[in-house]
Amino acid sequence: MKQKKFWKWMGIVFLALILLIQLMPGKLPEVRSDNPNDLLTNNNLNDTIAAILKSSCYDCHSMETRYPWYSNVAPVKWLVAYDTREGREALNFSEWETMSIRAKMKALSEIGEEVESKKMPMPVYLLTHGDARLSDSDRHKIYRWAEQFSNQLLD
Amino acid sequence: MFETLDTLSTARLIAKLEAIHEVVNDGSMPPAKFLEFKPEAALSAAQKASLLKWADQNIEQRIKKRD
Repeated sequence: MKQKKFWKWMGIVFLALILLIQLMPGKLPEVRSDNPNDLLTNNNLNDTIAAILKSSCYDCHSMETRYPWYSNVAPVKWLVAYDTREGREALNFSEWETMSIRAKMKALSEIGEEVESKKMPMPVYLLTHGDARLSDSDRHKIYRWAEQFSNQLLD
Repeated sequence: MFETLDTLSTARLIAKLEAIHEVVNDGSMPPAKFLEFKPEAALSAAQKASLLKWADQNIEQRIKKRD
């Protein structure tokens, strides 16, 4: 009896905390759909590559983030906001054409390495984004594209 | 996987040089944790400058070749 009461109170406290943290300030990074310097709009990429980039990279590495409903609920909101901010800072495909050739080449080299070695897309992101998962063959396609696109920049 | 600079394709070499340039420039290398017990490994301003210049020249020279 005593224990039942304890769990009831624990539940109430937990719910109250969840509700309370919703009041904390903090916003998700903004979304922008019109991006004149975007990688895909300025380069005629192979459809398969473009589709992979869109579904597996663009949520964090562009201004066109598709936020799921639960990303508005703290504490998930904090994690999503943090990852999106960090992702855009490391590489933002919406700003691709503003990058120098050497910065593009460094980015492409890292894209190949991180996708091939399965560091990207981040495993925690893949848990809730089934459509972003990549097969080994997809990963290799990205690796080869990055290499070839980088060489193309030197021509 | 370990690659040596002289076996890299031009594109990958430029990418690596650019990465070196970036970490030296923003001071993230050598790592602060490492410098705690090996302070003599810290780069002087002059050393930093020559590394940056070396990377810059090698990158630009390889990018310009295409013209």
